[in-house]
Amino acid sequence: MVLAGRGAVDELRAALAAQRALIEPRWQGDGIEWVETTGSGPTAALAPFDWDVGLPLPSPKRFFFPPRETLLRWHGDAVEEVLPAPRPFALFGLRSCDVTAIAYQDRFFAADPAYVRRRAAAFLVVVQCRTACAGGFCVDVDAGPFASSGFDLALTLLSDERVLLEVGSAEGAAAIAAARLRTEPADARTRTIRGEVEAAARASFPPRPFIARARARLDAGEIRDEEWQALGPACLACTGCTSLCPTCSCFTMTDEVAAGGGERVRYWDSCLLEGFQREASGHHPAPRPGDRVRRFWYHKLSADFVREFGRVGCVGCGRCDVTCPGSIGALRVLERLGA
Amino acid sequence: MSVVSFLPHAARIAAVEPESADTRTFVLRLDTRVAALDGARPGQFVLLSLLGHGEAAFTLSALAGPRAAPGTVVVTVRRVGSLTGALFELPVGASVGVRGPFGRGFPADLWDRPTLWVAGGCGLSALVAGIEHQIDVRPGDAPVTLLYGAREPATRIHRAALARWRERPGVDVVECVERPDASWDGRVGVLVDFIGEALVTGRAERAAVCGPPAMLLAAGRALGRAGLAPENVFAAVERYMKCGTGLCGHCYVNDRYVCTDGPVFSWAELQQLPDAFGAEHVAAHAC
Repeated sequence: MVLAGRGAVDELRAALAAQRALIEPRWQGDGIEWVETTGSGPTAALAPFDWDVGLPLPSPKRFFFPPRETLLRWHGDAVEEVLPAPRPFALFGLRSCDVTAIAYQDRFFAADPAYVRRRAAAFLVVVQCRTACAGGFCVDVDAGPFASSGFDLALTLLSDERVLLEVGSAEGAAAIAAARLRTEPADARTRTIRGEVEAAARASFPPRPFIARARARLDAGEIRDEEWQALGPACLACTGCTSLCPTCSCFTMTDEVAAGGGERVRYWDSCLLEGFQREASGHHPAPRPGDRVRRFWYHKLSADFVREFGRVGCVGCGRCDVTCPGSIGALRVLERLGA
Repeated sequence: MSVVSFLPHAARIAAVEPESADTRTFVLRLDTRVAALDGARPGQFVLLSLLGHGEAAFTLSALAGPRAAPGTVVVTVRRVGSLTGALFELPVGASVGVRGPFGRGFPADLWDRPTLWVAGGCGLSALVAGIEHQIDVRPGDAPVTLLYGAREPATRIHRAALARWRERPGVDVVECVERPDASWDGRVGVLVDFIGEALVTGRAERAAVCGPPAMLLAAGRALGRAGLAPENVFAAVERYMKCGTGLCGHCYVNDRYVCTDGPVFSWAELQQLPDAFGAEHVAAHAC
């Protein structure tokens, strides 16, 4: 943990951009997107880091698990496996919710050949959240507002002038050294200030006791089928939530045929689509929309998954609430189930 | 953790054996022998790949050894969807692909205790390798009973195996059909009605079940009523699936995957998984 001047962050970005693609949240039109800011020009032309940009609506999962990915390619009977060879990249400006989701997906996709290759090429820089974002509830699902692990570097803006850099990996320490940043060790007073900034960030979230109540009801099996079925009609199966969710990982595989050959491709899938589990025989394990809504929220919120993944699936980023046209994003569902 | 591969092993169709009007057994010969497939256990499954049509999951209906040569993969397929439709059009010698074996098969300690196998319709294909294995390895001539229910006589599959098993000491094959024709002089009715009789005949201490979901649920409950403990009843559960490796998410049943945690589950495990029988489960509890 070292202290540096605010300007050191732009020096760090420039040094990272000299070695790898630098990808950061940026306003694009009327939305926040992940944008490659290195471009093709000289790194000296990097715009100053935008500390105030919020959470991009798309999660960063597509950098590890893209919406469409070729797995096999064939010509005639000759088939070859296609594996990505990604160039190194840095995601600079991740928030705690998203880096928590990346750690969750690291466990989920540990055996996936494409994911592990993309993930090995990534350098993760977190910006710790100083205040609650609208609709975010990371604090209620143990995913923020400060990240304690899962990053290479984490930055906390302690004042207008001072930035605290937390090192989360050997690569993170090497990046600070390579950028030749002027830093000083964080003393006890600096650590106290950091604690105060984190406490203030936590205190900025509105109290939402319904979240704990809803999770407790879910884990106790107290939510009646009628409650789920009542939510069913609000799901339009648009797949907005599952596409934006940073921990959703379901995919389908389909063959795309071209002259003389083709590709086996995987696409993001969604458990809220009617055909997701429908079997060729016509049998359907989750035939009603309410059944699918229940399965989805069980997967996001149940403590049953802690055994395998160390935490619940939801990281409280709030994206599903923003996108859902039927008003059944996470907070709205938790509100109803925990009322 | 070692990474998975989505690249199928190349194979060719070596033989096709008709089972019924819509069901055939395909013997596939791998271009190169695969140790893991030669060592597959009863109840495990493979993903059969047809380029241009995707992959679909099938339980191995014979294992390398007495019933299949090393380097072969044997699956019994009912023509029901687009991939199986394309498979049925392929000639002997055509190229296919195989990934696997996947999943946890039947428990290794199943074989030395008297067992009742309960198969509904094409569900017999998921049990046939287990039945063959038990008949081959059981101590002495310990009882093996198969209760097999088909819609009608013409839809019975694995008839050669049924006839062969009937000749083996200690093996009892109990068959029933729902819709008999003039050729049928056996039992008539739904399979669940004969579970009690079949249990007594075979002095079975354990049971293994596969069939349509509603039948699976009814059979499991009937076996419980007849006195078998949930730890001694095993069901081969089927789900639509894409990857076979616990990644694609299609075969989730609560917090388990059919592909890696199953497809064989004990009834005790299924009792903890309310989604195993979906709407059938809800309906069963409503009455």
